Parts: sequence; C-alpha cells; structure tokens
Amino acid sequence: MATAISARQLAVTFAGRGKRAAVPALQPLDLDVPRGRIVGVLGPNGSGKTTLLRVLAGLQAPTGGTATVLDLPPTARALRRLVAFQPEGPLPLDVLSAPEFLAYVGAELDLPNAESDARAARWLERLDLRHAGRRRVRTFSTGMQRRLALAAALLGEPEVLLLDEPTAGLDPFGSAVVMQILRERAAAGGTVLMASHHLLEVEEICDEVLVLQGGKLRARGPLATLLGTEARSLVVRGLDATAMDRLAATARELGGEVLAVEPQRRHLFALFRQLADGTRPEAER
Amino acid sequence: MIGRAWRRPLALCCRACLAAAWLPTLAAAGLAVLLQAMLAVPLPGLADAPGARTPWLHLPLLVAAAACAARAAAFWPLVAARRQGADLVARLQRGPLRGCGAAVAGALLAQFVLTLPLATVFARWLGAPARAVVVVELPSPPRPLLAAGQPPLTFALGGRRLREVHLRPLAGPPTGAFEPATVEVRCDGERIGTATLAESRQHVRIAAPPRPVQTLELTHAGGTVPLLFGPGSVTAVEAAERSAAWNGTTAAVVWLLPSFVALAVALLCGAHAALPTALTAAFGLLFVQTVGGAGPADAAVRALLRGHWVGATVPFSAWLPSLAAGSLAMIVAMLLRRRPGR
Repeated sequence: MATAISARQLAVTFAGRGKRAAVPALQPLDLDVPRGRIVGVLGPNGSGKTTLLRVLAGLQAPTGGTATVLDLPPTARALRRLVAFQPEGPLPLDVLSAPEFLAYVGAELDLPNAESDARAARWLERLDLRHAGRRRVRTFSTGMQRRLALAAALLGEPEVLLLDEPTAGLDPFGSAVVMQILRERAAAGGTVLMASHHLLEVEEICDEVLVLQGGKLRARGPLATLLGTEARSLVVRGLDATAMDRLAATARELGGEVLAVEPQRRHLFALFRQLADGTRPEAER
Repeated sequence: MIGRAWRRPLALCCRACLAAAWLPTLAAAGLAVLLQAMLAVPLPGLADAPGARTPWLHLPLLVAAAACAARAAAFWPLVAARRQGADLVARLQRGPLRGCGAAVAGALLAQFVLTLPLATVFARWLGAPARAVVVVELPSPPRPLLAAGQPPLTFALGGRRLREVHLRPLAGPPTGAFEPATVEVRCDGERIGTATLAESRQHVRIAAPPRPVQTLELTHAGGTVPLLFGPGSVTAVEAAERSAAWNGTTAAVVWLLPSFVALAVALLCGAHAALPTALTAAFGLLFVQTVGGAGPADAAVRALLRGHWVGATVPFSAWLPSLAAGSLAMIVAMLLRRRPGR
C-alpha cells in the first residue's frame, strides 16, 4: 500500500534562551502511514502530538531527520490543497460569518467561487452549521468552531487530513458526525492523522495509533495488536435467565470464560440522543 | 475577478477595519466639533486663521488611523506572534509575509475611505478655504542679510504667475537709532511694493502683478534694522487656484504614511513579539509621526486648513523618508518570517 506520510529520525528541539534549556519536543522517530488509513496520535499534554502535526503540515521546521507527505517535503506548495491541517483552539478571522470564512479558505485554495460556495454549503449542511447563518464566528460555541474548522479543512477535498483534537468540545452528535466523515474519507482513499485525548473515539475509528510521551514514540501499531483483541467475544441480548444460564454453562464447557452477566442497559449515547432530540430546535437536528 | 478579490485578505481586512473604525471616527469628529466650539477664542479685528484649528482635524484623523491599525493587527492572526488560529491561516497564505502585506493594504484602504470625508467635508467645516493655492517657499540666497550697504537679495521664480509675495524675515539689533527697515520688492525689475519691517517674523503681504515672473528682488531702501531672509522667510503664492477636494484627497493620502510606517513596524515587532507589543509600537509611532510632527502628516493638515496646496507644501520628496522607513521595516519583517519556525 502506498505511503501517505513518512518520517525518518524526525526530531524537533525548541532552542533555549538565556538560562532556559533547549526542549526536545520530538525525539527521533520513524513513521509510515499508508494511504487510506486513520491513525490516532495519543499522549499526555506536552508529549509532542501537536509538534508532530505542525511539522507534517509544514508549519514547523524539524531540527533533525526528514519527513515527507505524499512523497513531497511538508513545505511544498503543491501540498497546500492536498493536505489540510486543522489546528486546535479557536478559529482566526472570527469577525467573519461561517460562509465568509469558508469563502476565504476556498479563494486561498484557488477554488472557483461557484465550486467553493457549493462545497461550503454542502459541508455547512453536513456539519450542522447551516442554521448559524450570518452570525460571526466569534459568537459560535466551541463545538461549532471545531465543526467549522473541519469544514475548512475538508473544503479543498484533501488527500491527507492532519487533525489536532478534531472532536474537542463537540457534543456526542457532533463527534458522531465527525467520526462518520473521517471514516468516509478513509474509505475513499484519504489518510487521516489525528491527535486526540478521546481514547474511546480513537479506539472506535482508528486503524493504528502512535503513543507519544515526552516527545518519544512509546508504542505504535494496529489497535488490535496493541490492545490484544485478537480473541473474539460474544455479546448476547434478549435471553431469559434460564437460557442465559444454559448459554453460560455451554460457554464454559467449550473452554470460554464468562466475564459478566449483566442486566441490559441502554448506551448513554442512546439516552442522550433521545433526550436531546426532544429539546433541540428543528433546525439543529 | 471582483468576487474573488472580495474573498481575499485585502478586502476582508478592509471590511473589518471599516466596521470597527467608522463609529470611533465619527465620535471623534463629533468631539472635535464640540471642543472646537467650546474652546474657540474669538480674536476681534484679526483675520480668520483656520490653520489654528489643525488639532481638531488631527483628532478624528488620528482616531481613524489608530482604529484601523488596531483592527488590522487584531484581525489578521499573523501580524503578531502566538495568536490563536494562526496556523490555519499560515498554511493557506502565499508569500513571505503570509498575507500581512495585504492586511496592511486593507487597513490603509479603510483608513483612506474614512479620512477622505474628513479631509474634504470636515476640513471645509473647520474653515479650510473653498479653493487651494500653491504656496512656495523660495530658497534663501547664500548671503541672506539685507541691511544698509548690502546688495539686493534675488530669488528665482522660474516664470511662475504670482498672486502675492509674503515676507517674514528675522530682524537683528538696529545699527543706529531705531528706525524700521524699508524693503523695496521688485518683480523682474518692476517695483511692486514696499514693506516696512521692525521686528522678527513680522508678516507682510505684497500683491504681485498677474504675469509670469522670473526673478524677485528685495532691496534695502532705508532704516537701521538689519533683516535676515533665511529659509521660509520669503514665500510666493501662485495666482492659479486649485480644487479643495483634490487638496483634501492629497492630505488624506499623506495621512496614510504614518499608518504605513506604524503597521510595517508592528509587522517587524510581531515576527517575534505578541500582539500587545506590536500594537504598542504601532500606536507610539503613529502618535509621534502625527501629533508629534515627526512626519509629513502635520504639515499636510495645516496646509489643508490654510488653503495651501498640499502637494506643494509636502512634496513627494517629503514622503520619501516615511516610505523608505516603512518599506525597510516590511523587508526586514519579510526576512524574519521567511521560513517556518525552529
């Protein structure tokens, strides 16, 4: 499978000033991300996740090693449209409305106006931002700003998405939509490298993870391998108590281990959806 | 093409600056009207002196410039370092300044839009004449002393058609019993008037003949007060009148120079410093260059209110130091921002 992102002995050290010592933000690491994969970058705060993404986005020069994205150096002009970076934090140019913001992004990506507007309308609809109308971005909630940032990243239909905390501040619906979009991008051959603290989401969506700590790569590989989930488990629903006992006995006879027999509960997300759907304005659903 | 330009940093920044600055500018103009009415001192028997109202025109002009500069610096996330969301814009922008140059241009355009009515309509309300005239300071001769026994002083006019000649020499201590100096004024040998001068910077106006004049000659005709005609002592007022609207437009353009320098230096500081530092540098420079008189803006406003043609009072050569300083700051800022950070 072709490689979308590659790094060899990639390192970043922030130079010290005066009495402050130099800070190794990223210690030499090797990395290969095949096309069509979703890779999560995990690690505590200050572990080098954002630095890694900034290097790959061409915003931070490495102090050692090399990196390529789609076989080009990260600063190559050709990557401006092929690679999208969604940084964390509030959006810039926040006196603009969402359509104006996306119009600016489209113009800078050299999209024809009509095409840019059509794509912007599509992503605003998909990311549930249509109702924001002409409101200024600065009046948006954190979640709305994150969704708009993702819309901006997707506007140029990039082959590689570099996302820094894409679901931070999003409600469960927003997170679900974002996850779905990322899956679709990967299915269409796109590559996603996302830094996140949301371990459940990473577990749900990512094919592989990198775990960084103190700028060092601590673990890397497919989730199944890292989590040891090669063995299969069976989740059963809807049996009465007698049938459940028989099933458990059969499982033991076959060499399985019965870990838990619990009353059936709804998933918290289902409860949230039911409650929120009853109170959300029609326009937001 | 227009639709596309509308989406670019220049237009976005211009719109943001206009939205942020129009109200403060209007308020400052209102305050200037109020203060001018409250503080004006009537001078019975003296001619109206609109040049004295320069500060009241400075006030809204300065507010417009400061508001546009502040908005531009705050709006464009790459003007200063460590701004939220800067990475998103930095990836999209081309060029070594990453859109900062366009943002500066947008701020200047917005300032021009705001200051144009101030320099034309508001200046007229403050007393600027309906027509402007070219007032030329004649370069003083190598030996500018005019006294008994001294040769006449000659000034080249190059065929200008004049309306008036103004004399404002420095006076020295009398050489004998005090007697005011009498100066004969001749144009191309023809005597056009006599001035009696007794003290330093005494202002005398003499009407000139309505024909092209090659040389102006000042001859000592009597008195014991020696006169020194240094730089600015002799000015010629041309006969032709010019549009006050164009004069206001020129003054508004000259007022862009301090903002250009201030924003360029803000870009220079902002390569490594955060927004408050960049803004402090910009505001400081703006103030020094305008109210402080360290640039052509103050002279332009004074000339505008006096009805002097700004293009002659503040010629393009007077713009060059500001243009050079701003351009240099831009170039250095460009070099500092050339590569991604290490």
